[in-house]
Amino acid sequence: MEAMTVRPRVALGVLVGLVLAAVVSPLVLSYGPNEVLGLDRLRLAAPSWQHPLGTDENSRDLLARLMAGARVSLAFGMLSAAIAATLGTGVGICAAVARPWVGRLLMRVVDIGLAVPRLLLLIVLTAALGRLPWGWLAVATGATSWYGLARLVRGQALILAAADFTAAARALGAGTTRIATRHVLPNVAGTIAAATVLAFAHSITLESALSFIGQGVAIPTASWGALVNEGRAQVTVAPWLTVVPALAIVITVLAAGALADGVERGTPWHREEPRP
Amino acid sequence: MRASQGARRLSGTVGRGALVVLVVAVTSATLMHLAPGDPLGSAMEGREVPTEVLARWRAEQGFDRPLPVKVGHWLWSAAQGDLGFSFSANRPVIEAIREALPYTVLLAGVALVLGFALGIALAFAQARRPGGPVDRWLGDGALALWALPEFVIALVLIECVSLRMGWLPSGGPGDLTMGPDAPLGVRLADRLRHLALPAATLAIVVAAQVARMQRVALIDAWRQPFVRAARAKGVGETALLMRHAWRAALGPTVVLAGLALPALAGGAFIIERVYAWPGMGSLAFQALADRDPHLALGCVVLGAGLVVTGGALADLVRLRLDPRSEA
Repeated sequence: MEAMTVRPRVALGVLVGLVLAAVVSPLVLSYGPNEVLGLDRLRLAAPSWQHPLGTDENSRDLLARLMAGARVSLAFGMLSAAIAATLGTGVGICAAVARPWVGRLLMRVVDIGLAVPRLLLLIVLTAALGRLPWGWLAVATGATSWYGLARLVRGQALILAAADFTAAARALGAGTTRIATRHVLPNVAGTIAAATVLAFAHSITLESALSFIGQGVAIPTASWGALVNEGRAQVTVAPWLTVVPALAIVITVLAAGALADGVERGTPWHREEPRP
Repeated sequence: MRASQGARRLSGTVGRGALVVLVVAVTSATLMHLAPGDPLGSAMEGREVPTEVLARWRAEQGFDRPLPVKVGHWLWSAAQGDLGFSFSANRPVIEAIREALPYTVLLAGVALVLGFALGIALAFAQARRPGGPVDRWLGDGALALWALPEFVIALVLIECVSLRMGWLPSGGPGDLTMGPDAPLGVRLADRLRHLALPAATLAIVVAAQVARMQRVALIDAWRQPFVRAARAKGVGETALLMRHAWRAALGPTVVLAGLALPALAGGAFIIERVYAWPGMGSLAFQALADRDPHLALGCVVLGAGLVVTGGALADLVRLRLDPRSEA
């Protein structure tokens, strides 16, 4: 019992710490992420006091690159999760409280969205429009990852819209908008929060995967996936170049997963046997 | 009455699926043709092709006509099974797909079976005693596996199993030096050895998802009155879990199996790339790298078709398993 309440807090702490580190690091670190420090001397240097995480093939400081990558990867995740949460919540609640045919139409859109593999869609986008800057890639990711959330929100909102307390509110003269924002939304907020944190984790994984195969951020921008890709060729000589950014991805996603679990556990929708 | 209801349901599913594929096709085709330039221009860049030849090819492919006509032209030929010409692969798109598809079906099929078997087994072990130590440890394990991006799993497997230990090849569809005259058994073993790592990677990804979902469904079913009734009747715990609770808990898993298809299409995209497995993912990647819209379009429309089919099949199976799950 104890562990369950502690774990989400630790996860939240880890995430907040990572964001803080990413934001503060340019003020503290003495090297820039793309600064070439000395090709002959500092190529693939092992971790030391000067360079706590070592340097890469182009003699760039890995810690500086890791933190620059954190800014890209975390911002990517937050931006696309925010977009997905907004769209998913809006469509989900609309589909539940609006007229039935509107709801059916919206759910058909969701069906279509769910049927398109997201990576393939991003590929079409890139093939049609050329390489996107990572900010736009985040927008495109967010705009294509709200379907599941909309379905989840709609399911719960439908139950709430038929509940006694909404009927009471309606009897007291509340309109559809008021019901949606004051009665339905607060009761699905926990679910939305959990799903948003999961969307954050999924976007970070997606971005790192795209960057890993060289289709995400453009060179020399650092993102965690791009760093793993860059370090891959030297994995036998300088394993830290691959291991450290890969660990950063895994820790972030794991923390987000644990946090989402904890948030979901706190919602009234959580169904599971209470622990004996 | 029942039969007509079933038929209506089936036709509805098929109609909705067709609509989804149509919308996806129209949208992607429009997007493709809206982009500046055309497939020919980017494919022929830097090559000496006479202008008249280019113009003739453009006319043949319908690139010189207005947008709605172009999209309509593509749709019309796609409906007849002609997905256009891939200028980067220098052959019809349908041929390239026909070559790549079996590889993806093999990889995804093996990975799905392994992943679901592993995931369901994990869920069973956990659901026996919800909240107990086994449940908690395995739950943490599944969460950790879920948090690993597939390319990280792939890198670790390649590094450990292939490069360090040298047990399995690190990529490719098979031994390229092996001729077609090698004995069948040898060729089969070679294909399996090359399949092992990519399939294992995908299976781990699938298993982590299945375990999490199946566990909740099993625990849910475990509390139902019919399980208690069966227990009171004297049914053993194992039979209770296997025969009574599991059947009721299969619904979400079957839905997940249908939904796993897009995830596999996406996951396979990365994994096929890392392991140099020449399936649909590698083909789509090629289309992207060569900026070949026709090929990319073919991959996307086929992908959407597969997903819709998977969803519809999952729907049918779920209905057979649990007649209560209407609508």
